[in-house]
Amino acid sequence: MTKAANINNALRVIAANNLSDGVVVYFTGTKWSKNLQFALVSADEAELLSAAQNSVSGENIIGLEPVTVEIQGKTITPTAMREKIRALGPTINFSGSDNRTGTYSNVSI
Amino acid sequence: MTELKIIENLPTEGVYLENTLEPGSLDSEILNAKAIILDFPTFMDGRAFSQARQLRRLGFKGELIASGDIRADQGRQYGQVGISTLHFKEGFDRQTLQNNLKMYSQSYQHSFLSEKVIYKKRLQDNQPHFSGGGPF
Amino acid sequence: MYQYDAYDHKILEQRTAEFRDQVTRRINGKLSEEEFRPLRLMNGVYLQLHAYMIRVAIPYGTFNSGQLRKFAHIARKYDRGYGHFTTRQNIQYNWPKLIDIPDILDELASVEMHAIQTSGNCIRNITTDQFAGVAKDEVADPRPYAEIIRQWSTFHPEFAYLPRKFKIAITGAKHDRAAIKFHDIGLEVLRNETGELGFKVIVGGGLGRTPVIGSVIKEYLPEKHLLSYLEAILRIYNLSGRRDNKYKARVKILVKESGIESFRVKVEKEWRQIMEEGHTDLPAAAQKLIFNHFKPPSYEHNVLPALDFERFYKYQAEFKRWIDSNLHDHKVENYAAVTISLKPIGGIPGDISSEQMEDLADLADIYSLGEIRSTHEQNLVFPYVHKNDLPALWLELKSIDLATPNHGLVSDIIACPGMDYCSLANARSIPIAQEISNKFSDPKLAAQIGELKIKISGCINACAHHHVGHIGVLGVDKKGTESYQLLLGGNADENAAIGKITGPGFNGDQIVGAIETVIRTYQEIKEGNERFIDTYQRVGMEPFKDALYD
Repeated sequence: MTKAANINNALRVIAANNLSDGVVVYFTGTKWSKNLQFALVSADEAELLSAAQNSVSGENIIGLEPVTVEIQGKTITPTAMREKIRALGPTINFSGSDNRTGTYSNVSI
Repeated sequence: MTELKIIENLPTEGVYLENTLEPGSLDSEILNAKAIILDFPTFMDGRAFSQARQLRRLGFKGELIASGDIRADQGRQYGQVGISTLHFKEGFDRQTLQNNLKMYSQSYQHSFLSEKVIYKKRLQDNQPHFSGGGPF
Repeated sequence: MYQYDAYDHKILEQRTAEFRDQVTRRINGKLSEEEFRPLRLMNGVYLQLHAYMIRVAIPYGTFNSGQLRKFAHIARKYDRGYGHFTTRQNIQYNWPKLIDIPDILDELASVEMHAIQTSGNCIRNITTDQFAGVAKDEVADPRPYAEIIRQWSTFHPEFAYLPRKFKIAITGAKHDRAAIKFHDIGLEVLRNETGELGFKVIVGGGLGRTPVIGSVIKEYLPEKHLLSYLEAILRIYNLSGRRDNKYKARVKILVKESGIESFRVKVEKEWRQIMEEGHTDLPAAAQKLIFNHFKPPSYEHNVLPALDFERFYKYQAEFKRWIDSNLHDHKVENYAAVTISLKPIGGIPGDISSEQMEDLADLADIYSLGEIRSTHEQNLVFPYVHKNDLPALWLELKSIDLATPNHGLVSDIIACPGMDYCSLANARSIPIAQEISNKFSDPKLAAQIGELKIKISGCINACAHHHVGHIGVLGVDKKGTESYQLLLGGNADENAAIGKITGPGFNGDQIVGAIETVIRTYQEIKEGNERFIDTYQRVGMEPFKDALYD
């Protein structure tokens, strides 16, 4: 466990990617979900990471990494902008003619 | 050389060559060795590819052994630069290695495998070597 | 344009089969992620912030309408309906699935395209002047040489695991549109005193963490020794380049640390031995076979006045603006090379939808002999447009939102994907570019400001070349929030210069205001027809600094 985690008691979730399609997923405690809101939140990063690693069978989930989050009300929000974007999708809308809505609802939420 | 030899143990008479040697500072004595062992500390460290090429140019005729982090997916590449033998300490994917060696039969560059060098083939072909032409 | 022969096709077919096998072995667990990662990276497949990304090589930025239709098809079928043109003249897709990538590669192979060596520590896609072969100011067409280098570097067995990536650029014109002084190797085609073609060879330039202007290693290299000389440089670099520190592994550091003189001695010694061996340089006959692919088209030598063009130019202010900024002199009378801006006002630099790609492919067939170029500034070019066709082409481009008259102007911004897509980025780039573009959307204002190159990178890796922007922006991470450094005075052409940081950085809300201040200051102090870069070179940093930090 890192020192910073001890001092701040910062909350973490574990993010990763699906091997076959690369989609961002979060560890729920038993499996992996595209929805950050289902993620298991813990202040014990080491334990969380080892539980997540143990749940990875056949390496179908790759690139596990802890992400610092805050809980506001019932909503889990990453603290860093990078992780916010990772959870919610790009902050920009492609302005071409394919009429994408920009909600990126099929990515990770 | 068409096939690469696979060994599990390094020959005792092999001379080990550091891969950090300054280019051009090879001791010509080494050319008399029966076997030279080239080091790939990780497969991503490609220095020994150039060393192999230089040793063959200097006229080294003996066994050139690639040792260290050797990968089946790069089989052909070792052969192309003049390496004759792969040293696998542990098991490896024989099928992948065989596929890799069989798959390509030609290359754009000079090769020490019995491969066709494309620009030479083009010159031998007694016909236009492309189907179209013109502006694009 | 080069067309594959049976040999090229065979190599590509074998490569796609090999990669399909590697993906299959990864999915069924025969390859670990640690083993597979370098294999996918050798084939342009990255894992980014949200998904995989695949980068497709466009050799020296030249492609045809059929290939563009294939890009459109891939975007629609395997991605989200758009593609992104990069600063290495390539196209990348942001959302492919790993399991679809073998099929994508088969689709690409069917039109002589691939993703070979678009990542990894190997020789990357060769880039060149987007106006190669048609530029009025060129000494010789650099594309045949670029093709010769492409073939030599493709699966070069010795140079697949270099200390770091290796980028080569070549220009055939004195005015450098290929940024050759900022590449690992830069080549300028020129003639010696007796009129024979050859190259000036520049080595050790680069951007990234340590921006360096390349040094001349050879003032004149005879044409026939191109490959042996490149091979000598690469071999010395492969053997002696640093491998202990990723950030010191590029050839620029080796050249800097050993000194250009000592580096040259080693290269020349190795070069003589390669020439003695005699199997690297192409024989003249083999070279000629490649040159045959680049014969100029049979231009229609019509000398009648282009009446439509004159009328439109006189009466259509918007057309005039587009002509004034997006047209480039052509070596053949009555023809023009036209820049198709991928920087619509408020848009994402370099992005283009499937529909636009398909429409553009049709227009290329009608107006540009079916050929298109991509530029390192993230735009496209039609290289063979007859002057009489310009009004019609402009009207058609306008209808698909691709007639933005801003080439080389304030809104023609280079931006990397930044933190919206890239896993390495520290800050977003695209929203900053969009905001600047919106602020300066008035074409009259943009014309008054004149030539201005703004380049925005989201991290120190400098994919958007911020060091050589007239105005450069570098995104940095400041305790989890985005912050931006501002640089002024960079230049990528033959008057190469590395921009200087103005001072303390700006946060996301301030950076666009800071750029406005810089531009306003320039407008206040410019003399006559000075461009921004001329004014900066005359007055230096002080006036801008005063305006920014007072």
